[in-house]
Amino acid sequence: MSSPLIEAVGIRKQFPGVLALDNVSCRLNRGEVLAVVGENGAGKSTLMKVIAGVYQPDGGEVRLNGVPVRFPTPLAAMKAGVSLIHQELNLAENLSVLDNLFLGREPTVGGPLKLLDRGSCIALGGKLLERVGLPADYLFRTVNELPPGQKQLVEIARALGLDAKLLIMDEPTSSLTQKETDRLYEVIDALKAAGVSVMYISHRLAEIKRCCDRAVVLRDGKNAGELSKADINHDNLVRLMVGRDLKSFFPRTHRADGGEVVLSIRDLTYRGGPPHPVSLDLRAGEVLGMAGLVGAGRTELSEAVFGLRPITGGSVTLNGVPLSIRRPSHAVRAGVLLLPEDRRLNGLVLEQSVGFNLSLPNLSRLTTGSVVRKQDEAVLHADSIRSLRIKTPTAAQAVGLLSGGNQQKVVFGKWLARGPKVLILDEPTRGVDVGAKTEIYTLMDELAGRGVAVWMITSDMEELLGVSDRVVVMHEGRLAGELPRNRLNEEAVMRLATGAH
Amino acid sequence: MNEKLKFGLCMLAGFAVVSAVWIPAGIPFQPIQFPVWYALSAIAIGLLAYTFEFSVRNLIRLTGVAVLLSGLIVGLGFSNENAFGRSNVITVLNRHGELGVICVGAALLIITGGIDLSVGSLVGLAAVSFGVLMEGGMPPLIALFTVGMFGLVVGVVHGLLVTQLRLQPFLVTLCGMFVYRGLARTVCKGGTGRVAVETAVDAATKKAATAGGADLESAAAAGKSAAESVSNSMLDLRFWLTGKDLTEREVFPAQLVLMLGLAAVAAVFLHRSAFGRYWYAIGYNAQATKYAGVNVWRHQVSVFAICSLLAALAGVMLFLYAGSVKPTDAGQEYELYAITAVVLGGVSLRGGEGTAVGVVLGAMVLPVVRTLMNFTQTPSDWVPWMIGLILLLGTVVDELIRRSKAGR
Repeated sequence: MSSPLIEAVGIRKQFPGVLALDNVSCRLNRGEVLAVVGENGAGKSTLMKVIAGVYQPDGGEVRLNGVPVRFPTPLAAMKAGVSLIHQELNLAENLSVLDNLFLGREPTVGGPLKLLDRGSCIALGGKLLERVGLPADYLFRTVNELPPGQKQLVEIARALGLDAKLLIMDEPTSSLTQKETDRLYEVIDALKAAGVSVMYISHRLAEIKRCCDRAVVLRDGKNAGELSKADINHDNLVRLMVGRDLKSFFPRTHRADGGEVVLSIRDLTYRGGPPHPVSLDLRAGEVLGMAGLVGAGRTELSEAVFGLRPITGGSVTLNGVPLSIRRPSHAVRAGVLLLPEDRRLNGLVLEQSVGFNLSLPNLSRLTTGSVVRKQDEAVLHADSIRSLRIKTPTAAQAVGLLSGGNQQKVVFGKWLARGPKVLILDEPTRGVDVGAKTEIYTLMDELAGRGVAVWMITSDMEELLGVSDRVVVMHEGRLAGELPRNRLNEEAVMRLATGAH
Repeated sequence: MNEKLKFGLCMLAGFAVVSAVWIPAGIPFQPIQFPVWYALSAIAIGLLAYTFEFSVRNLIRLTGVAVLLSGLIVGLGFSNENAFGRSNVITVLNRHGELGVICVGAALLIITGGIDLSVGSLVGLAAVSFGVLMEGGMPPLIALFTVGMFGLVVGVVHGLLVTQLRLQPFLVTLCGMFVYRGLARTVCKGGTGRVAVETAVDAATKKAATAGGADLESAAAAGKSAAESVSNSMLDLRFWLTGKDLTEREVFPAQLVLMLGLAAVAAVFLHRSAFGRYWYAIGYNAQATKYAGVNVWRHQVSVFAICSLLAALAGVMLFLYAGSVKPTDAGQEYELYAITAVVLGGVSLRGGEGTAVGVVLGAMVLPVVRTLMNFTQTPSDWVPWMIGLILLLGTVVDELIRRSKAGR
């Protein structure tokens, strides 16, 4: 048998204070799709970056077609056919798709004049887009008009334009709708058939089963095991990732039925929302799951209730008292709290410390004449870190350096100290690893047990079915239907979400 | 360490530092201004030390400016034997204080992610307006209050334009820069004329004199005493704010003390209060701060207001200190000096970073550079480009130090 396309042997990578990769090996054949799985902080992204030339390994080597290679820069790796599709996409948002496809390597005519050869750009670009299933007229769209899924396809097309042999995708579906995800699978299948290999980082087990031939599991920067396609299942993956069995993934030990209505939304309309009013009740002690396709208006509704979008009609009442919410500060004071979908942008001040973030919404209770009482603050930090099991060396650690799961726990910590009445969770476990997911589900269960009304917006079907006491489904801005727990199943949710009934 | 103990020690240190300068230099304890200055500077230094967080990150941020300043001060020592003479030191420190007052405001604004390019023009407008109000016979304290209120209003308007109409701070204050410079010339009727302390005093005297009674003699007497009181309160204010006595001699760097006091207040706000927390958070990520339930726009408006208020105060100080100002160039380019100074002091133009101590140190660079140029008899046409290069050097050194520390 010929040598594998790419092989990483005994890779070691040291960061200040952390050994990110310790003697990690993996190999990948032509036309193979390899899943790289592990909790956040397990070293998946570091391994990808070593292979793609973003980082230089401190030990071990990368072999391409059996020949040891060293890519000093990502560009060198790209030229050799190894392209990294980033979690945060690297496209020039203000330029057209065409410009992006050929950025930095524009075909030119006219010698030193370097006139763009638009004709050949368009011809070549059209072919590249065809390979990722986008119509040719997309060449002239500006990138920032495109939804995330299509941006990703553009980035893949750009890599293909560089004659990529290996595409490395870091959580490619984290911001995609189901439809876009399906499209991506098809593209991956087509690439595979054309002999392109794919390294695929993901947290989502369904995806790994769907499109990967093999899975390599990393734990704490070491190889934890490998699974062939037949062995890829939930239990095996979780066991290797966490190193132990997880008993109950979706705990529901604290839930009680039929609490009082806490938050009542009546005929609500808001700026930028759908023309028809929305009504919704949240009960104390329940987890209300809200499903719907991306763009169904779930986030927008929650933003209106949280005061981020001006309300134009209808009412919101909390425990029977009408609320007038025009700004987030009003909602926060009333005890209606939101964990935003994009925690890095809206949930946290990333550059600041864990403690800074935990204190931020709680300062009014921690100050005397607006001077912060340091001791009380330290107590709050210690309590939150302990009770939420936030993995951080100290409260002074910059929150951006924590893993996704621990970042999310900090966002929870910000609000828990305020004693929430209604907690709106928008995609609470996006980008969170399996171990931390269970902890977050446990936390939601406990909060519901304390009588908090939890409103969970999620696109993760497994989570929706596992955690919710009741599910409402949105379709094009209106509530398409409600499903009690005993009638909850995937088909019913999808039927409502797609508006087919 | 116990907070109360730390506070006590810092205050003691403040008084020790001030006494260590005060007593060997033989500075008197009267009239009343001197003990006030003594106490104010000691408390301010104590507060600055108390609120400064001795973290590696903060210390790294100050290394660059500390190295640059030490180099410049050593250079100053070699340049002239009178360099550390009393009058020269007082002058340098007074200049430091004047720029520092502006820097405190600019730093607060930059930390919250804003910028103010209109500071220099506003300094000019405030200086000229104060003079003109005085010439019109307004008592000095009321004129000071009026000019301060005007600055506050200007800042609020900037803030509202930025937060409510979502205009860019750069643009709003750039327009302000032209408007206030022009207004300064309009206020000073001649257009290119000048306003001076003496004319203000004379005019005020005359006005007070003519406001006397019916018969000539009693009018003259009443007028004279009224005039004296106006002129006295003016000169009194000058002494309080700038340390220039009746003979226009600088006997004390009062501007430095005033600046230290303001910096100490800013330090308490920035490093110890909820306000400071919000300002840093807004500078880093205004969006997340809003989601945390903070009224972001109110904080932004208040910081714009503080910045303009301090600029107006600096204008009055400039007028009193310089003795006369021209509307065309009073305070010109101050906004750029202030921005450079705070950046040297470790405030990031990206927002969300910086310390009060850094601002105090950063503001000192430029006055020292200017004095050094003076002593080395650098041709005057060299001064601007040499200042530019030295400041560039400072920022480069700063960046390199930060990188080498961060890279390890």
